[in-house]
Amino acid sequence: MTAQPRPVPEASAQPAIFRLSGVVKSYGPHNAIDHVDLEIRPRELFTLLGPSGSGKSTILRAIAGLIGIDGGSLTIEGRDVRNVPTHQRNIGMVFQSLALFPHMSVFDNIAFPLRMRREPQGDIARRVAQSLDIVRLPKIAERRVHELSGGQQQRVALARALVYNPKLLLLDEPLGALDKRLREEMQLEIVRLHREIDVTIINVTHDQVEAMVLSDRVGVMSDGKLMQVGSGEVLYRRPANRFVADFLGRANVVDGTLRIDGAGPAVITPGGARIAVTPERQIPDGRRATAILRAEDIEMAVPGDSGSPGLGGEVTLRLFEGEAVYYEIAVPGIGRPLRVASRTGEIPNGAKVRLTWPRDKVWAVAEDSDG
Amino acid sequence: MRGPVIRLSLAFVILLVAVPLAIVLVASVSGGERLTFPPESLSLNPYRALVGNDEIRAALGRSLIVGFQVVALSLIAGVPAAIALVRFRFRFRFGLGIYMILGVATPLIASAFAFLALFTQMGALGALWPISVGITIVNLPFLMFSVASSLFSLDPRLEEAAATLGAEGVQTFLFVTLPGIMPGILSGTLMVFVLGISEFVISLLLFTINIQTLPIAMFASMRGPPPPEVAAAAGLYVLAAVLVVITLTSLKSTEQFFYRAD
Repeated sequence: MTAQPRPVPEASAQPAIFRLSGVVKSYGPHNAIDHVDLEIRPRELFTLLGPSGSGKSTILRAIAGLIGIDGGSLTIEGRDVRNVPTHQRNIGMVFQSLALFPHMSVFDNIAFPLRMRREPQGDIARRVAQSLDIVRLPKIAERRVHELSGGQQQRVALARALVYNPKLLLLDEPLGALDKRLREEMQLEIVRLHREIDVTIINVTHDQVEAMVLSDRVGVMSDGKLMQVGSGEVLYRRPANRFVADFLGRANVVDGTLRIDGAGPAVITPGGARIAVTPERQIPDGRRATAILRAEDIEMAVPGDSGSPGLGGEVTLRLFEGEAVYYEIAVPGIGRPLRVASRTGEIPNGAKVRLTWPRDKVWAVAEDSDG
Repeated sequence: MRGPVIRLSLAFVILLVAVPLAIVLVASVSGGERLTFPPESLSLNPYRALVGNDEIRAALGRSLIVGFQVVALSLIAGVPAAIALVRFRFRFRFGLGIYMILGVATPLIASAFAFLALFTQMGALGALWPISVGITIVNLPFLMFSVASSLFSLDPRLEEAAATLGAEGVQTFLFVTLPGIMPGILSGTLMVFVLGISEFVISLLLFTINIQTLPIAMFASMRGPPPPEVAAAAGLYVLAAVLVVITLTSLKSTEQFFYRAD
């Protein structure tokens, strides 16, 4: 089951610029894209997030027309583009390998799409210079591609994909191979470009931080299916299912049965541990459900006396990570140790602790919403 | 480079390769009226004799014509075939690849016999082109492998990028694919050209007295004491080979420089 898309309020009134409905792409018995519905609004920066092999790049390639689709429809500005060849779709795309033409200068690379459109010579020179200005790389037009640094190549690839003002820009993990610092720099660059020019962007990544930092909305994919679409915050706080919860951030997903009694709703594990939750929509009493508990939402204290509230457990792992200290706590009645991120980290390995959390920080989803 | 055994065997290999090259080059600048080895004095007499010998000079011209014909035929047939074998999925693709290798693996004398039978039947003997066709057929795989390996190392995303940027199939081929495989085409072309100008076995069966190519003319003139111009012709072959090897290695490094796998 795919979750209801949770629209970003301020953009919801605008009609979609781009729409996928019921799109299917199969390789033999396997569906690489499995009945995906998606609407992208004008000027949106949308990210498809998922592990490798989840079908996110396949969707991008289908949008670009590099592969055909086996079912469903694909419309850009209301026009069905299923039978429109790639070179007529007027889409900008940046590939992970960047795919800059190695035998051409920077100028010729960026001029390529303009020459294919038979623009006048004078216009080409002006627009190439303009687009190099936009990506803040003036004065390198005559260089060869291999003389540029990694970051400069990224910017040239962006300039080449934007110089003909495509309505839609597709980014197929172009930042995937960069080191952390350069990646963060390019992320800011993309956000800045998106703010400055009139373009709708669909980005693909397996990096959840990149997805949440960059995007207006994120779509989480798994096994060819679109699991949930929403703002990064919604996905993080209110995941539609186990997969989304587990994939984003560091969550504890604890399976059990939902019970609603005098103390409010709670997930009771087969081992008898009780986790107070705020359930998703209406999960009926007695239904199998999963409690989702973020590592950073758990408070941990050394018990003053045995009457303190919360779950009791024992520290089995303590890892210093810099900004936080990561703990694993074995709790009786819960199969997997609970993961806790503590800012202070004063509690040593092996200590007996009690774990508490605000009930409204703990979300629960019914088990069959896993898709 | 450690160990005396490795050093010794390397020295031996270097020597082995050097022997024919050295003898040919030294003989081609010998000074005497007749070829002796080692020569008594050095001069450019053999090359002057080559220029003065109409028969050898005409044979050299014919060999060059054969070389160019082989290049033209190989490019026309080989480049599209190599692209098809690498890029398209079709039935018998793998079998066809193996079949192409057969052309190289078949002993030349067997192929030459087949060509002789065929061209005699057609009444085509006495022209140069049957020789060129024969040489092309047995050497085509060299060009195809060279083009195919270039194409293998060409990032297929380059062609996809060209399409997203608005290039039609033909434009993508002309402006992206072709420049990308140019190193492979050039090195393959050089290879088949050298094989074309120096081919012996097929020429031996298909030549008539009016269309001797250079290797045949050299062979014919060596039945007696070898005249100096033969040494000069051999020297030219060695020089051509050196040029080709230098060009090929520099092409190879250019190619790796531009199209190294990520």
